[in-house]
Amino acid sequence: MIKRSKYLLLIALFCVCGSMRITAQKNADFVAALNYVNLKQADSARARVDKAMRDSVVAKDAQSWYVRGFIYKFYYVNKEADNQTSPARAEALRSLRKGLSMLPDTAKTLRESINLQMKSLAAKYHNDAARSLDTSNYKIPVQNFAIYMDIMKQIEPGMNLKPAEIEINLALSAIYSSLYTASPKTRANILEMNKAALLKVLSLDPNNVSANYNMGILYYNQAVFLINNSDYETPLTSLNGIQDDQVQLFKQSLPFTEKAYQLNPKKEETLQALSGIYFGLNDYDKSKLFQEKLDELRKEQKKH
Amino acid sequence: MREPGSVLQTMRKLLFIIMGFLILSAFQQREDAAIMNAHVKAIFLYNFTKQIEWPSDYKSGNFVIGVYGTYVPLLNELNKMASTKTAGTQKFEIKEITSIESAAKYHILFVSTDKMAQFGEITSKLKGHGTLLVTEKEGMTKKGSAINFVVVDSKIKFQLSKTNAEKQQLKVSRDLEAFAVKEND
Repeated sequence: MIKRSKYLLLIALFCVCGSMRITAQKNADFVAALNYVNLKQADSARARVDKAMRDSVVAKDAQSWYVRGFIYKFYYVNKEADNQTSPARAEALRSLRKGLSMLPDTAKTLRESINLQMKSLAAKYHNDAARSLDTSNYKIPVQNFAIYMDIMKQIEPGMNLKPAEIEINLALSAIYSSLYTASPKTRANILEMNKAALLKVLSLDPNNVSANYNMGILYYNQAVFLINNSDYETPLTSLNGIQDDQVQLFKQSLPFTEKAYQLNPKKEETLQALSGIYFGLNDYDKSKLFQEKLDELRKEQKKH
Repeated sequence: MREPGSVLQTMRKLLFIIMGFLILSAFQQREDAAIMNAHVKAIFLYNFTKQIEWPSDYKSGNFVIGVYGTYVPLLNELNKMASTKTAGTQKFEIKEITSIESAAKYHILFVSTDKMAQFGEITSKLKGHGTLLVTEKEGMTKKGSAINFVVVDSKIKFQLSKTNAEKQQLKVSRDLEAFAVKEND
């Protein structure tokens, strides 16, 4: 890991020093900043590059922003690597983007260097999002994933980002589902966020088994919650209305769960869900049918 | 330093989160549907205690609800209800019944579908007692049941036989009559 870091650092410095000769000669602070990078003195490197950027000539140069981005990234890696909302990382990205925006179309080498740095930052945003995503922390990972997507769309417009987007939204859906059970106060809000995450997946891949299944479960759980949280003293007039809503939710659950079943008839959870939905709809024959299919599937699996 | 290629490694954690949830929700479903169904019936039964008047000698002591047959979710729901609610001033007592005694005193007796073959014997043993007989099979009000749970448009509703209730010395409120569904509804 350390060796690889050093290697990348050397490549970057080589690019910087090679391409920045003219600007660097004009600004001693720039040279000092790069020397501090070499000495692994992140604080001093950052201070000196910012001082260098005050020079109007330097600030108008795309390469200067590239170096600033590089140094801020260096600072982030050394000082703020555990900070999911690292200001240095955000500043590194901002600098690299500014450098990119100032580049003429002909500056192919520098463009590639900036893209490489941005790609590395994108990976860090993504990895942070995936690693830190849990029920107690999902807002920042969501933001970080959005930044990852944004960077990748900019530097690799042709890249297929669907799989990553599907994956993160499915993980988010799982997180929201846990929160739905654990935090009654925010239930309605969480539910809508969960639906949005799953609908996003289905818009990218309508045949996604997990998204169809989870969407079905989402409505299913809503229906169950509705009834199980009704007090025993609920008057019969209200109970009738609650059952109406419950039936509606089970019926909303059905097409998604049935699609998940069509897409993968060998998935135990879907068979269980269908048996549960039909039970909830008081259609005991169909519920039994899916329970029998589940039993058959389990028998088959035991044989193998 | 992780490059974009290593993004795939962190995908593993995302998959772990997703799979963990799938397993969790699968366990929930099997239990939930039966509990939910029993919960609805418990709400109905609680409402019956308010809308039906029992004979005077049934107005003291515990309010006994018996469940005859195999119906664990309903027993659990009724026990939960008994821990927080009362029937007027009477405490609920929930009993799992394995055999019907002529001398038994139940306010409500729920007979599950697996005991339908013995329903004739039950009605003769409890004839004239202040027991509300509750069943859940089509046509049971014609066989002596006072309340029969049925499914109408995917919802649990109930049929009511005022005659059978009166034979058991029970007075049914007009409100409850209004909520009941007719045999052919």
